[in-house]
Amino acid sequence: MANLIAKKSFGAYGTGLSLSVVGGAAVAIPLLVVYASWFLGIESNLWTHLIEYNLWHYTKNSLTLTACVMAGALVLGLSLAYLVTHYDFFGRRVLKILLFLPMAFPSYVLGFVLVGASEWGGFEARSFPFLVGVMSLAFYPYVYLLVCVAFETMGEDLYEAAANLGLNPWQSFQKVALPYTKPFLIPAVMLVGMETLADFGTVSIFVFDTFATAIYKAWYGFFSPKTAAQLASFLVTLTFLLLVFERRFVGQRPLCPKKRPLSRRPLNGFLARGLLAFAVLIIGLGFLLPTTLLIYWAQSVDQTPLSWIGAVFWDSVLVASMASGLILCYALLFLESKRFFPAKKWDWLASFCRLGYAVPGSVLAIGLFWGLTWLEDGLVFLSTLIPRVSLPHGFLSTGLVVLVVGLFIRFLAVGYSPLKGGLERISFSMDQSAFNLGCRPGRLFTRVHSPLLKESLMVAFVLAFVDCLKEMPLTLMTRPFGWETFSIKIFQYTSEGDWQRAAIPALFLSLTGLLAALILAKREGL
Amino acid sequence: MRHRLGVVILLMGWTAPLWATTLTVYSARKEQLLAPVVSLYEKKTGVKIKLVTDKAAALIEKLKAEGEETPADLLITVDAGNLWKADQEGLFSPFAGELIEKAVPEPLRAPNRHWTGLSMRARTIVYDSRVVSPKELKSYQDLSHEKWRGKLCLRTAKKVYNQSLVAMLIEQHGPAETQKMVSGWVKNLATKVYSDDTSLLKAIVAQKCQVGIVNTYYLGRLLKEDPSLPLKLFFPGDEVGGTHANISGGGILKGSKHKKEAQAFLEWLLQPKAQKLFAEVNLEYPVRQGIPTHPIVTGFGPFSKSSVNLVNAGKRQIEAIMLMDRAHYH
Repeated sequence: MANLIAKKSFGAYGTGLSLSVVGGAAVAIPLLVVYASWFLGIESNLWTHLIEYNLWHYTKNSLTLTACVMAGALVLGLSLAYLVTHYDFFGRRVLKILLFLPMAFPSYVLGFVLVGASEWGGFEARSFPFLVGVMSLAFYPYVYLLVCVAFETMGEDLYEAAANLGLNPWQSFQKVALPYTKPFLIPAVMLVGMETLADFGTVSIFVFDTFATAIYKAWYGFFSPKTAAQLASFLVTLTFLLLVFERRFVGQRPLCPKKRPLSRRPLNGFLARGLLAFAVLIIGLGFLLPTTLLIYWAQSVDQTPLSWIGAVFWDSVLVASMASGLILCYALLFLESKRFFPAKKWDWLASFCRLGYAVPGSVLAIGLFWGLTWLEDGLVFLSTLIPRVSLPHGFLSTGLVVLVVGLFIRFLAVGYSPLKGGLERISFSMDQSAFNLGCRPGRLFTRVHSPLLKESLMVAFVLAFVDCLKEMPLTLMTRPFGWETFSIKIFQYTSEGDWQRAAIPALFLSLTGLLAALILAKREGL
Repeated sequence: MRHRLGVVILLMGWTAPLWATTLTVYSARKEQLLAPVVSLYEKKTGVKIKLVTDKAAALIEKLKAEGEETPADLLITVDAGNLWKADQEGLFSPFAGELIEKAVPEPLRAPNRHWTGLSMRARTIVYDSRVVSPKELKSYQDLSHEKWRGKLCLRTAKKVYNQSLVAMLIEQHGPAETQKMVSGWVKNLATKVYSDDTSLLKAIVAQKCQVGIVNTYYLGRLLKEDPSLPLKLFFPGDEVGGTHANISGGGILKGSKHKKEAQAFLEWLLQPKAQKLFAEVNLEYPVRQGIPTHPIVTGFGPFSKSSVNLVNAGKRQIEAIMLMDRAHYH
C-alpha cells in the first residue's frame, strides 16, 4: 500500500530520500572519524599503560554505574508511575506533575548541589551509592513519563481479563501490566543508559573514574586526541549494540484501544502508603531540596555584577533553538521518507544516526572538528580549480555552524523518538484517502500530517531544546568567539569548587528546564 | 528559501575574517581573570582584543587544525605543561627584543623564547593551624612519612597542577624515589581525593584531614571571605628543593597576522602596573621581581621557588601521570 503511494509520487519522496541520506552522511562523519582514528597509528606506550593500569578498572566502573543507574531509574520510574496511575488519593494530580520535575535539573547540577551540601553538612557524599542516587534521580523522569503514558493507555479491561483468568494482583502486574509497558519502558531505560555512559560532568564531581575519564585522560593528560578517539570508538560500538538490543526486544507499541480507563483503587495498606511516602521523599530530594539550596546559595553570594545574564540567556536560547529546529526538520524529513519507502536499511540508518547520543560531547567535538577541517580542505582545494572562486579557510570550521551541527548530531535521538511515535499513530489508510482525494505529498504533510503531529512536534522540540541547553563539553569546545551559555558558566564555577556562584546560572538553566517539563507534563496529560 | 538559508549559513561561517583586524587571544585562563587587564589595554591603546576561552588541550588541537590560517595571535594558558605542549606542536613564534627576558626570571620562561610566564602560582602545603605546628612540616616528600597516616588530603591526579608538581619532583628526586613518595601520599590519604582545591581546603576546616597540597590563591579566595579560617601555608625551603611554582603564561602564535601588536601586548602585560593587576585579580604572584602583591598574598610570607625550569613540567607530564597511576594515585 505504502509502495503504491510511493510510486504515484516518486519525485517528491525521492528528493526527501536523497536529502535524508545526505543528512545521515553528515551525522556519520564525526562517528566515522572516531573509527578512522585507528588508521592514524597507535601510540603503543600509551595503550600499554592504559591497558595495564586503567582500562579494566574504568570499564568495570562504567558498566557497574550504567547498570545501577538504569536499574535505579527503572525502579523509581516504574514504581512511581504505578502509584500515580493505579491509586486514588488526595493531591494525586499535583503529585503526578511534581514527580516529573527533577527532569529540570541536569545531573551535574544535582551532583554539585549534593556535594556542596555535604561540605556544609559534614558528611561524605562522594561515594558510589550517592552517585547512583543522584544520577537515578536526574534520569528517572524519562522512565516515569513514558510508563505513565503506557499505563494511561492500558485501560481496566486487561486487568479484568487477568482477574477472570484467576491471576492475583501481583501476577497480573507481572504478566499483564509489565509486558504491556515494555515497549515504552525499554527505550526510556536505554536512554538513561546512554546518558550515563556519556556522562563526564557528574562523575568528575564525584571523582569516580569511568570510561569517559579514560577518553579525557588520553586527550588532556597524554595530549593524544587520536588515542582518545580510538578509546571512544569502543563506547560508540557499545551503544550501537545497545540499540541493536533495543530493536530486537522492544517490539511495537500495543495499539489496543482501551474501553474503560484504569479504575484507581483507594490508597490502603502498608505498601501503598509506604509508596506514597517514598514519592514525597523523592520530590523532596530530587526537586525541593536542590531548588532551595540553589536559591539560598545564589542569594548568599556577594552580588557580583549580573549583567552577563542577558547575553548568556540569548546565547543559550538562540543556539538551542537553532539546533532543535534542525533536529526537527531532519527527523521529519527522514521519517516521512521512511514512511513511503519502508525498507530494513532505513532502520539501520536510523539507529546509526542516533548513536550521536551516546558519544561524549568532547569526542564528538574532535570528530566534528577533524571531519569539518578535512572536508573544508577538500572544498578549498576544489575551489582553487574554478577560476574566480576562492573559498577561505575556516568558512566551515569556525562560527556557530560547528556548535549547531554538533548539538544536532548529539541530540537527534531525543527529537526523533517522539516524532516517530507520533507518526506511527497516523494510520496509512488516512494517507491513502488523502491521496485518493488528490492530495499531493506536500499537501499531505501540511494538511494531514502536521495538524496531527502538532503535539509530537512540540514534545520533540522541547526535549531537544532542554538537552541542547544542558549540554556542556561539546558547547565548550566548539562554541565561537566568546559564546557563553548557562552550562558554560556552571562549568567555569564548579571546576573551581565555587558552588555558590554556580548556583545562579544553574537556577536559570533549571528554570528553563522546569518550563519545558511543565509543558511536557501538560501535554502528556500528567 | 533553500538558497537564502545557504547564504545565512555561509555568513555565519564568515564572521571570523571580519573580526581579523583585532588582536585575537586564545585563552585557557578564566575569562573573568583576564578581563580587567584586557579592558585596561583596550582603553589605553585602542586595540581591540577578542578572547576565545576553552580548555588548553582543545585550543591546541584547534590551533593545529587551523594551521597558518588561524585567526588567533596569542595563546594564553595556565600551567607550563600546556605551554610546552603547544611549543612541541610548533605553534609559537619566538618573541623579539630583550624586554621579556629581562623582566621574567629564567625558570619561568622557555629558554627558546617561545613562551613566557605572566603570573606565578605556588603549589604548596596547607595545614590546619589548630592541630599542626609548622615545625612538623618539611617538604612534599615528608608528607609521605607515616606520621601523616590518615591525615593527608589531596586533589585528583587528573588535575594538571598535580601532574606538574610530580614532574618537578621526578626531576629533583628521580622516578624511583618519586614513586615511593607518591605511594606514601596515597597511603596517608584521610579520604578520597577531591575534584578541586577549594573542597580540599574546606575538608581541612571540617577536620577531615590536617594537611594538603594546594595552589595558594585558592586559600586566598577563601580568606578574602572569611579571614578567621584556621588554615596556614607552609613553603618547602631551598634545602629540600624549594616550592613548586607554576605559571600562567603565553606566547605569540606562528600563524598570527599581527605579530608586532601581539608582542606589544605581551610586553605590556609585563609592565609593573599590568603585572600588579594581573596577579592581584586572582591573588597570584607577579612574575616580575619587586612588584607589590595583594595584602592577603603578602600575608602568606615569602618563599623560594624551585630552580627546576618549568619546561620539565611539560616534558615529564606523561611520565608523571603514569607514575601516579602506578602509585594508585588517581
